[in-house]
Amino acid sequence: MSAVELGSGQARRGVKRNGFRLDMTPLVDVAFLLLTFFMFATTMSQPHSMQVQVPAGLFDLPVEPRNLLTIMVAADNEVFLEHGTMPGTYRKLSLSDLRHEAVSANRSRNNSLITILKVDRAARYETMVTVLDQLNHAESDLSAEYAALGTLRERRFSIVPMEQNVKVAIDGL
Amino acid sequence: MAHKPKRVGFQLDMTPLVDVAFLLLTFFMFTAKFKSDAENEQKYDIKRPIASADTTKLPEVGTGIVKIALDPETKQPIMFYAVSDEVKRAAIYKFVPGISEEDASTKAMVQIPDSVVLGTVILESRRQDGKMKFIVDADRRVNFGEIERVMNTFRSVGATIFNFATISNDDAAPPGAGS
Repeated sequence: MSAVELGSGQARRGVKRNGFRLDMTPLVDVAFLLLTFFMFATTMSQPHSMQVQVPAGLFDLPVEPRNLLTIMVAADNEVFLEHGTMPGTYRKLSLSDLRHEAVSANRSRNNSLITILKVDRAARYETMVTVLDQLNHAESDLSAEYAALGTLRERRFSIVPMEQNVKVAIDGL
Repeated sequence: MAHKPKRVGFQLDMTPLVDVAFLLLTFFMFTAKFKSDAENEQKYDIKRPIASADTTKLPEVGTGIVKIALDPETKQPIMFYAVSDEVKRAAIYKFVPGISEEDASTKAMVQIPDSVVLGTVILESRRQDGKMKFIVDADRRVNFGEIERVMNTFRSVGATIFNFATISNDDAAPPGAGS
């Protein structure tokens, strides 16, 4: 259609373009090379962060024992639970039950329950992170439950060193 | 035999293929995140622990990372410290005993022999950047005793909030794939 309007010079170029083919092979080669490079160089697994807070100092605050929920991780990575209402009674717990236990222990306690985590030095770091993760899950469950009742959830949690007598007690179980 | 004459001058239209290839290429180019200097220097693979509740991304700038890896041969934990800020690194790393001035200014990551040195570098990091975010990036197989010592060190220098580097369930299979 353009050949009709254009002068002879341009018309000739138009004719030339008619069967014009650009060899795209090298372009495609490079494109695929780059594509494969970026595909392999990309790390899809991004690390996440789990925030923890340690108290500035270890204070001996007077705490009513019945307000304590102690979670212990033994040297063999077994998890134990001690309710403040029954001190000295250690109950073995599977990691998958921890979330449910933490939620039900806190239910109807109106933010008064303090959760304490004691981990044996010989236990694996992985176990501690799993316990913290389960407690974080429990925390979001509790926030939702408390919000439904119109109260604000305040988390009371601390990681404290494991005492020798506790270690001896749970290692024997 | 009957096909042969047909194939003469055979042309496949590669345009859609090229379109898709370039689309993928641009996608991967924009999503690609390259390893930091410290990760480049890191010789040991750290298998991060798995966590699913908190899916906040690990901060990338303004961080001080305590890395605890396991030596594949001795199975002993080794500690490293990496500051993301290239300018502040030299001033912090020079407090590590036995490190040359050149290493302090060129290295992205330094090995930490004990918790006293760790306390010194963390304290100095806080002096250089009061808002520095501290990350504990430890191998899931190390003993809690190691972590406890790091936590106590953080506590003693007043850095009471820090992060554990974790990985989520779904992409836990290849931790640090491509490294």
